[in-house]
Amino acid sequence: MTGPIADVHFERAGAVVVAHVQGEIDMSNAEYLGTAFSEVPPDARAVILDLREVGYLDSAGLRMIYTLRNRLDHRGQRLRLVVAPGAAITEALRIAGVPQAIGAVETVDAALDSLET
Amino acid sequence: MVVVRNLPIASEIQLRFPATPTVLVQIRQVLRRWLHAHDVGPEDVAAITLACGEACANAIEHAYGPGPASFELEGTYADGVVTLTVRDAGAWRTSRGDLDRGRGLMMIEATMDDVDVRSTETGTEIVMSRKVGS
Repeated sequence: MTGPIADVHFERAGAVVVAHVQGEIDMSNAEYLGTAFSEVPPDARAVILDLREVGYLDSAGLRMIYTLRNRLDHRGQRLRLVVAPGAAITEALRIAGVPQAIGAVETVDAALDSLET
Repeated sequence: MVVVRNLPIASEIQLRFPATPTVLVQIRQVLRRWLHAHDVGPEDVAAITLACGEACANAIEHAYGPGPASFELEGTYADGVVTLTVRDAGAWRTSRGDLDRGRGLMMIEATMDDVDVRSTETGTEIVMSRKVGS
């Protein structure tokens, strides 16, 4: 393989940071992707993790998500996930209880709305 | 890459990979291509790819110690059932608070119909199968 199998780019929506992830997440890159979130500024109110362009995610990716959640919790920042309906990663998230534990919606707008309250 | 379209689709795959995390993406590509060639539907492909990835990740984690390590992946498709075998030279690790591997086995058990983790004289063999729609 040449080049990374996933990348993340950050976008600011007011007090919320939107992280768009694209590619596949496994034990070869999960930890590295997780370190990218140190860029989230302390004054951000929440992070929206946009996984709509993620085609594969396994237990290493799930650990990355839970580690991120815990780190944000610690700083009083909230986390929302965006997952495309019927996506290949839905099953992995469901098995790991992510929708119940963190909450997942289908669009970034819906995630932003859920943070309004 | 040369694609030869009029070859019969292999009912079996048998591959050996070096035990390093960067092979996982290649394994997924090979596996998906093989499953697509058998007209396996997207939901089954996603489930089997996940189970295979977890089993292979476990084999890679076993690869401690000096010298090059490798593991084997076998796949068979017969009577609408996909069976995968991942064979390595280590022991399945669930102890020492290894959350990823515990979760990995959970993924395999949730996505496959039958799962058998066997300790062999030389290592660990995981055999898993799933009935697929086509």
